[in-house]
Amino acid sequence: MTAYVIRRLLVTPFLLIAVSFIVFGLIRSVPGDPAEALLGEKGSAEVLAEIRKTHGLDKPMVEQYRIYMTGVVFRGDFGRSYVHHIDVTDEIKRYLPATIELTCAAMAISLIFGVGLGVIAAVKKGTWVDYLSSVIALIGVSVPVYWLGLLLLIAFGKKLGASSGNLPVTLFIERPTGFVLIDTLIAGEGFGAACRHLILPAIALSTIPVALIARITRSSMLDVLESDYVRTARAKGVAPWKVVMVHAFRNALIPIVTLAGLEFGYLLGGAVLTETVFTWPGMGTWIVKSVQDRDYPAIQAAVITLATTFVLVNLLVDILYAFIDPRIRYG
Amino acid sequence: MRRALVSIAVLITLTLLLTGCPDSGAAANGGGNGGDGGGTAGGPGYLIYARSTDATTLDPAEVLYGEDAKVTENVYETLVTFEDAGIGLVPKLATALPTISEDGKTWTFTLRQGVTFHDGTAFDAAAVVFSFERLVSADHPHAPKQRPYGPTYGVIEKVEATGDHEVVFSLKEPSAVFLQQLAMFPVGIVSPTAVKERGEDYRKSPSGTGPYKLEEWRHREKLSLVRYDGYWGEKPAIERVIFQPVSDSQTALEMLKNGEAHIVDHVTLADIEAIEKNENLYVARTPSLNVGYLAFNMNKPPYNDQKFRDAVALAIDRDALNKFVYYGLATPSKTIVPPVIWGDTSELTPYEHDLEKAKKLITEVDLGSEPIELWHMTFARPYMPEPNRVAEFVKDALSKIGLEVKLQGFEKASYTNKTKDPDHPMCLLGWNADYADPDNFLYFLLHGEAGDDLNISFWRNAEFDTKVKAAQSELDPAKRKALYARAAELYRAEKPSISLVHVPQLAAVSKAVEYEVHPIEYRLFPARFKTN
Repeated sequence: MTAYVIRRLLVTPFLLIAVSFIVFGLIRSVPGDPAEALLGEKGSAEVLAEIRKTHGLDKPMVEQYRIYMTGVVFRGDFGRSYVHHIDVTDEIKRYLPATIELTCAAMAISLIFGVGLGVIAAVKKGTWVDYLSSVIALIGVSVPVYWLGLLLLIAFGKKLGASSGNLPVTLFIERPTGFVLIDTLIAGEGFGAACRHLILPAIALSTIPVALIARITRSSMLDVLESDYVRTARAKGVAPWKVVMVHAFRNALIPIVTLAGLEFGYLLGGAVLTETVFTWPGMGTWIVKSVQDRDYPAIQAAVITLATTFVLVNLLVDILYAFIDPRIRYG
Repeated sequence: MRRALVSIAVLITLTLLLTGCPDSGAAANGGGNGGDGGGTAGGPGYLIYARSTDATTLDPAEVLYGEDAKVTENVYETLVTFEDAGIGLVPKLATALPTISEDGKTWTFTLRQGVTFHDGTAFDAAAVVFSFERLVSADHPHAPKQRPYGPTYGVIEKVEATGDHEVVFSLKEPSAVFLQQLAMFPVGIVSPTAVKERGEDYRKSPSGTGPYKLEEWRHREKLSLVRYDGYWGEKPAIERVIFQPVSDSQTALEMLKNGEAHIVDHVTLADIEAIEKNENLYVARTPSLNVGYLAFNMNKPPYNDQKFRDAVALAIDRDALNKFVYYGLATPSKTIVPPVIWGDTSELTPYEHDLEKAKKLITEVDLGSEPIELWHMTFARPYMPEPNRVAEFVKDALSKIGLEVKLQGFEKASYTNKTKDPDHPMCLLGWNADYADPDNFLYFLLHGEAGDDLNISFWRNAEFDTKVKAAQSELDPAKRKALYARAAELYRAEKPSISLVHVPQLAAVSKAVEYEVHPIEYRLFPARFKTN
C-alpha cells in the first residue's frame, strides 16, 4: 500500500509538467492578448508595446516557457498576475481556502441529506417516500443554481443579515488561515456571522451533489438489500435498522465514495455561478476572470493547482476503497 | 462514511499547512482592529460602497481602470482639480491656478504649505517633481512597471522645483489641454519617501495627501479607507469608506435593500425604474463624459462610400435606440463630443432619421458581393451596457432599408485588436473621456496622427487634422470653440463614424446617505449620513 502511494506521488510532478506545457500552449493559441485585454479601447500602440515588453510577451514562446519553468522549478515562482501585480501563489493562498471551505460545507450537506434520502428511498422502495425523494433529486439537478441562489438571498438574506457570502466588511480581524470559520474562531469574534454567510452558498452549491448522491445511494443500496447475505441477516432476526445501517450500508459505500470524491474534486475547481451570486472569493470566478483577462500566470498556476488537488483527491479516494472493502489490495 | 469525513478533514488540514502562512499583504498603513471606530452623528461611521470588481493598483502612475481611480481619487490629490459639481478647474495642492508665460510654454505653480502625506512626509515641490518624473520617464529609478498614461504627458519638457513650494513646468509646445490633464488621476502627488521605502509594494500601500488613507485591503473582499486626521482641508464626515467588490449587480442590490451596502455603482439600466420606486433608495446620476459610436472602415468598400454611410446614418433612429436599448436613460448624440464638454449643443441639429431617403441612397451604392458586416463587443462598457442589443437594433434598423447585416461579436481580450484590423467592416465601440476637453475625442479618435491606432475608421481629412491640431495649442477659448465647431461640422458631414448615445453615470444609493455623483471624479469624501 505504502509503495503504491509513493509510486503515485512520484508520478505526479511529471504529470503536472505535462499539464503546465499543455496549458501554456493552449492559452497562448486562443485569440486575444493580455495587453489588449488590459487596456481595452485605450490601447495605443506605444503603451501596448511597453506592457508586452514588461511581461516578456515580446519574446518567442519557447523562450517564455523556458523562463517560466525555470522560475517554477528552481524558485517555486509561478509569476505575477498581469492585472493585480501580485504573486499568483499569494492569490491561490487566498482563494483556495475559500473554495475548500465552501466545498466542505456543501459536501457535508450533500452527504448528510444525499445519503439520508437515498437510504430512506431504498428501504421504502415503491412508496410515496421513494417518489418524494426522486422528485427532490430531480429538482436538485434541474434547478439553475444562479436562480436558486438569488431566491435564497431574497428569501433569507435579510433575516440572516447576510446578503452575500463575504464576511461583514465592517469586521476587522486577522486572517491567518484564510478559512473564515477558523479565522473567526481564532479571533474570538464574528463566528456566528461567518456561519450565517456560509450557509446560503453552501446550500445552493449542494443541490446537485445531494441529488446525485441520493440517486446513487438508492440504487447501490437496492442492489445490496436484495443480496443473499442481507436476506440471511434478516432471517437470523437481526434488527431491521442494523441490517440496513451495519450490514448493507458499508457494502453500498464504494460507488457513493467514488461519486462523492469526484464531486468534491469538481467543486474544488470552483463553482462559478454560486461564487458570483454570493460574491464568494473562490477559485472559480478567479479562473474565469483570469481567462477573460488573458492573465497567463494566473491561469497557469490555477490549472496546476487544480490538477494537483484532483490527483490528491483521487489518490485519497483510492486509499479509502481499501479501508471500506478489505478485499481491495494495491500492489 | 465516517472515514470519508475523516479523510476530508485530513485534506483540509494539509491545505491549511500548505496555505496557512500569515497574510502579509492584508493590513497596510497600520491596518488593525478598527471596529466601528468613532462613528458619525446620524450614521454608523462607515459607508459601504459596492462595485463590480476590486482595484488592481493604488499607485496613481500605474492606474488604468476606473475601479482603481475610485480609490486613488480619495487618497491622492492633484495640483488642480474639478469644481464641486462641474468640469471647471480650481486649485487644490496649488494655491492658485498657474501663471503662464507669454509663449504659453512655462507654467509656474505656487504650492500649498502645511500639507503632509499619510506617512508623515511633508508635501513640497520636490514631491511634485518626483511624482511627475516617475510618470513621464520610463528610465526613472522609481518608475512603476506600467505607465499607461505616461505618453499623455509627453508635452512636458521638464519639471523643476524653483523653491520649496514653487514648481515650474516647461512644455515642448503651448497646450490648451494641459491644465485639464493636471487634474487627472495619474498625476496624484505621491510621497517620495513612501515610494522609495516600499518599492514594488507601494501599489498596495499608498501614501497621498488626500482626505482618506488606506486602512486594509483584502483582494476581492474589501478595501477600507479611513479618515486621515492630519488632512489639511475639510475632513470627511464619514470616518470609513469600505469598497466591497460584488460582481453580480442583483446581489449588490439585495445588499443595498437589506442595509448591507449604502451605494451600488454598477446597477443595470433595466433596474433603475425599480430602484426609483423603492422608498428607501434613490438614484444619483450625472451626465457622463462618454460616447458610444458606430465606425466605418474608410478604406474598404462599400463602407468608404459616402452614400452608404449617409444611408446608414439616416436609418438609425437614436430616440428609438435610447428608448428600447437604453431604457430612455441615455442622451441621443449630436456629435462625438458629449454635451457636458461641448457646452451648448442647441446650435447642432440632431442627426436626421429618414428611412425613405436612406432607401433611395442605398440603391445608388455598389454593395459588392460580400455580406455587409457589423462587428461588436460582447462585454458591457459604460457607453454600451448591452452591446448585443445595440448590434441587434442596428441590424434591425438597416434591414428596414433593405440592408442585410451579418453580426459578429468578440470578447474583451480580442475586440480592440479586431477594431484595428485594416480589413474590418463596421464596428461598434465607444470612449470614456480621460479629460474634459473636445481634444480627448477629436484628436484621439479621429485625427490622422492618432494613426490606425485609436482612429479605427482610418479617416484622413487634412482640414479636420489642421483644425484639431491648431486647437491643441490655441489658448483663446473663443478661437478654440470656432476651430472645434468647424471640425465637428466636417465630422458630421463625412461620417467616418456616427455617434449614437451618451450614457449617464448612475448609482443606487440608500436614502440614509447624501451622495452626489461627480461628472469626472469618484469623490466619496463629501458623502455624509443624514442626521434626522
